[in-house]
Amino acid sequence: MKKFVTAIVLLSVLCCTMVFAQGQKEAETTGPKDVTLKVYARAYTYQQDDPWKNAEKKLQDAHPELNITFEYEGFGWADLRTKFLTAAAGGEAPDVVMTDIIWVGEYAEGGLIADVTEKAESWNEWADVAPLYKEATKVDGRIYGTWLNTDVRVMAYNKKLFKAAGLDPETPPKTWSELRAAAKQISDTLAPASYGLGFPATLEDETAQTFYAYLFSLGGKILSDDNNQALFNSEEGVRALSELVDMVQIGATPASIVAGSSSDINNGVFQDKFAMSYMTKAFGLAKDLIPGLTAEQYLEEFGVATIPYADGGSASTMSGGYLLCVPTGSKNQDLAWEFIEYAAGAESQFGYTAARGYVPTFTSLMERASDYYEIDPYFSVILEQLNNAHFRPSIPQYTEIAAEVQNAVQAAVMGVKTPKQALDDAAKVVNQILNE
Amino acid sequence: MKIKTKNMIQGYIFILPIVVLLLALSFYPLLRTIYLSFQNVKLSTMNNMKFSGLKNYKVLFTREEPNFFKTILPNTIYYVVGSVVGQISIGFLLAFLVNKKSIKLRGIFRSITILPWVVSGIIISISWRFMYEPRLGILNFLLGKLGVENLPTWLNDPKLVLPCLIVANIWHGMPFSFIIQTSGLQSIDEDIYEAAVIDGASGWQQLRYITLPLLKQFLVMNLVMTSMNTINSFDLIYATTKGGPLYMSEVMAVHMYRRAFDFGKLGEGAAVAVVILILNLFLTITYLKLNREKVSK
Repeated sequence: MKKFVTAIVLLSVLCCTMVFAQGQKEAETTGPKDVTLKVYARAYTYQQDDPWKNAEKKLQDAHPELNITFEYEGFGWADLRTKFLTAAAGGEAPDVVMTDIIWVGEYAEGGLIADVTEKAESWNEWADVAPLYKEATKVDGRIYGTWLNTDVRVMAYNKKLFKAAGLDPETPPKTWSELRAAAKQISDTLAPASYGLGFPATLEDETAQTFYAYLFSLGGKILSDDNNQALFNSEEGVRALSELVDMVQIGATPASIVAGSSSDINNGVFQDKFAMSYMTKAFGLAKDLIPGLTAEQYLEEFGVATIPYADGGSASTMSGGYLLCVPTGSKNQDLAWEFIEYAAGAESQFGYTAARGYVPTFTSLMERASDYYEIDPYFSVILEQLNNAHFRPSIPQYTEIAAEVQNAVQAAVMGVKTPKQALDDAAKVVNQILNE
Repeated sequence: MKIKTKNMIQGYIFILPIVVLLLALSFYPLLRTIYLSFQNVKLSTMNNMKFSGLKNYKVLFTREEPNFFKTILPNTIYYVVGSVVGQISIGFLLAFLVNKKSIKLRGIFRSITILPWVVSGIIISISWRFMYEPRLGILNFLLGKLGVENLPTWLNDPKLVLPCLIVANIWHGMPFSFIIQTSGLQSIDEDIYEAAVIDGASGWQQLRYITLPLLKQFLVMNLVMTSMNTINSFDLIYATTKGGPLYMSEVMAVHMYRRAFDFGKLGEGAAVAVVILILNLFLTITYLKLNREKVSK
């Protein structure tokens, strides 16, 4: 009897434990579900609350049924692409990836980022994206992401060096001939301490972009409309490259631009090394280099103007920027897109672009230019440049094509090849790449 | 079962984990690289490979610019020979001097000499890039102070770029040779030198007939490892010049990285990696064979 009672008691305890455990399990399943969103982006995007922190809060508020953990990884420009490609190939793709506009073609061709056409078109902010920028998100007519920001290149110049060379700092050069004269005068007066114009002739995309801006100014094209043939070695291309080479040959630009990096050259404007250079986010860079620089001081000491255009040609500049895309390997594609809607929506884009000196892609933000003027006194110049902006071809072979253009510019600047020979050689290789 | 067989099986069981680890970490990537070199595969389409036979090798050997035989291979040989000769000779010289008993504070000298080795290649390349910078660098600043007018453009000059990189690489890699040679010198019995002195051998004769022959095994090992390290290393050059200007510093390892990762052509990059592997094997076998022949003589 004693044994029987003991068995009953033990059985009851066991049953109670099981019932209690089951109840706890049910409570767990009815609680918030754990989800992790992994983001790959440029490291500098994490320095302010927009785009990520504010979007995080909004997404979590919109989904009380979820317990969302956000994992962020930050990279340099080249590493972001390499890391994403290798992670995607290894089945470890993140949920959101920041994508340079020139990589979109490569990612889309490889099936690495999701077609978000339906999602984008049903997003209530999509209609507000400027038409030129809407088009740039497409590959074969399908949308692969939305803009985090864009940028345009402008000419930043150093007023102190202009004055020291006897030039009027309030009338920067507008055409190539004016640029040539002004840059030569500055170099003749101040070199080797300072030079008139700095542009990169290094193995970087900024080198190719300087050449493209000149090429477009003459009405030239990088590739044919069907992206099957190189056109940058046209007569316009040769003239564009010759103009850059001339700047070195007349001493307006030092030959040392073939080494170092484009950022060294851009920094040089704010360090009294170069009087002029082409760059994005000039004010942001100036503030990084000159601690405590106010907008008033910036206006007094530095200027921003449109990139000088060919005599008889038209103003042109290059535009770039980043999209936020959803990798096909993401396990939470809908949630990831919703996160992107918050992170790249107009409110977040304003906070992000204003903080970092970038350019918005929403029409409503472009109309709020006065808000940007308070932050960047030369924002009107930047905004004006949007009308002259061109994009690089967003095709899978772009990186390799750009390397050939960079080498051509370098060879011509170093005098190893004539501009025509350098561009023809590059075009020959590019045509092979395009036809592979 | 015989005890010998039982012990043998036990032995194999004990080494099994490390064999599996070796196969997983060394042989699998090696075989995978060889396999990829015969595939048409891009970084963005890794899950969609197509067999392409020898196409990647054909592209590698027939590309006009940079041409493998006119640019890449000569650059590699120049860089490797320059770096290896510099690292081993300076490493030996320093090891020999610091090993002298008459030198005080030898431990401190050794520690200072080893310092460059613990610095990462990327940091070294940034430091040397600043030193070689033609407008702001310390080298041209000093030359300017000495009154030199036509200042060299260092890394911008196609003829100077590789010697500049060799100097940086010698500075970085020399401590490894120093450590190997130091351990070699310390393994030589002092009695031999004392006997030689009694026999009237001069310092040069001691070096020629005692030190160098007894150090040969260390020198050969040093030669093999330094050659392989230099052939395989790409970080210093990539971060300093990216292979430029005009491909004049593009060595095989940099070429491999650029094809595979900058341009996403994994198959072509793998083909370059296989050529590097063959070159490594060839050099190692040659060194070891030469050493063995001389030892047997």
